[in-house]
Amino acid sequence: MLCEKCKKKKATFFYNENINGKIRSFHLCAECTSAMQASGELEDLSTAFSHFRSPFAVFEDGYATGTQLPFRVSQVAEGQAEHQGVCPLCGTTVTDIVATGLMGCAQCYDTFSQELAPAIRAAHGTASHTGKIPRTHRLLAERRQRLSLLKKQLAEAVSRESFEEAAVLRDEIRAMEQH
Amino acid sequence: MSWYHIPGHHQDTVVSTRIRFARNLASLPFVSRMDAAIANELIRRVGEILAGNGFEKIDFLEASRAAAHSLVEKHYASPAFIKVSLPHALYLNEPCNLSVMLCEEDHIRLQCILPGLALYDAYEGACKIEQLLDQHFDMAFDSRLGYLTHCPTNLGTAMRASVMLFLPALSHAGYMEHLTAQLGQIGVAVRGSFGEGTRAVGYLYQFSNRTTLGVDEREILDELNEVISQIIHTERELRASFNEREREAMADRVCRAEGILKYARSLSTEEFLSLSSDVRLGAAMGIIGDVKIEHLTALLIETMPATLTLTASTPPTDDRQRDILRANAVRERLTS
Repeated sequence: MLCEKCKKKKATFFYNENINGKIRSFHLCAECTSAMQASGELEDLSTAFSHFRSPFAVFEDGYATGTQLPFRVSQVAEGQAEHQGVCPLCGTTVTDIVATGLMGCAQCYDTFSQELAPAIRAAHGTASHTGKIPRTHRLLAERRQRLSLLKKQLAEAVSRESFEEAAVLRDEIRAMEQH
Repeated sequence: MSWYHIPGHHQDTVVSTRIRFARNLASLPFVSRMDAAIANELIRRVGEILAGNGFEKIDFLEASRAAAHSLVEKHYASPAFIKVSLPHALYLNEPCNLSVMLCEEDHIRLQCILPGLALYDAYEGACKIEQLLDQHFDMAFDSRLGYLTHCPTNLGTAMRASVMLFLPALSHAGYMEHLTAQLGQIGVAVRGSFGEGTRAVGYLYQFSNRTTLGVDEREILDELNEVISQIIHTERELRASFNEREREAMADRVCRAEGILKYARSLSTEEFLSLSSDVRLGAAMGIIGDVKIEHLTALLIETMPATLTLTASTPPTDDRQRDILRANAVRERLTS
């Protein structure tokens, strides 16, 4: 997507702001971002989070409830599929998320992964999930592991010239991949 | 017989333990994007599984105000659940220690609550339901972010473990503010169970884990258990030292409290909380011998406004009438 300001360069920065309910959002290139920050049209990133300890509300009854996310600028990765600011599954926009602090659906986490990254880092650091895994994902992970093992065994059988064994393994791999 | 009628481990210091999981079905939008039709569909599908496994449905949209508030007072539902405008339902098992809220902030919020310190037992209980639902439904999940929740702060294990502690000595010695700040640094949130902000009426506090992502469930339990064990130890030591130095003053205070509870004709919620905590301390220290701690916990729940209203033969119409009913319930329980 092209920069909204100069309409020439590719947009690599996504800026979102919610100040007292007034919401602004832009897709900008690096040069226009710096220019707008210098002229004061955009908040300077370096002071953006100085007065926020956490972008999310204090716990209520043990669970945090959504609240307004502060403004943030996040960098859109090169080659990332452009989502035009709307989740294809539930129709939630980034401005919705900034206003409520809540996601619209599971897909939103993927759709807006770049924009969410700083907020998630602020709440959870760089941590990755290490706990329970749902059955469907366990099965997928197991299947991936099994396929990988079979392929390794196939390569070994071929190098040993055990072609009958290799054929059996190849058939099993084929059957799994078609399923 | 519910969780609050049964004695628990370390009940001189620990009132209850709760383990909660948040889950969302992968195939539906989150609650803020649902309409009534989708909400009813969710309740139908998940409810069917729960109903077939010993859970009874309580339709929150249809429940009376008193009934709904009573379920919150018993810790089966959150205060927020009452304000939900979408169709929403609570499922409760027969022993009344497992409850599942459908369409609260997440599609599914299941919990196990047990008396006393019971982190691992409550975890086992909650896991049974979690696994049951996992067998039947595809849960929203990401390999890096863990279980996907409506609010990103709950990502990962989406598990909250909390313990209600009775800490009169630590409170009296003025340590709670410092302790709260210190524990906050290591990922344990502390707040008063009753009352606004840090005011802890009846010296009752809720301790819960803050971190949900980047740790596994066992680690959360182990760390919280470690912290709580140390607090229990310190509280008991402090009580013993107070008892040594101020024995008569302490005995006078707790026995007067017992006297008022046994003979008063009217008790406000706050007065009851304060007095019953004194009696609880007296019972815990062996100064009062004729009151069982589990009876005090039962009264803690049963004298709450909505629960009182529900059990009254003639529903009270104002606070004054409720205060009289409260005193009656307390007197009956303590003098039987």
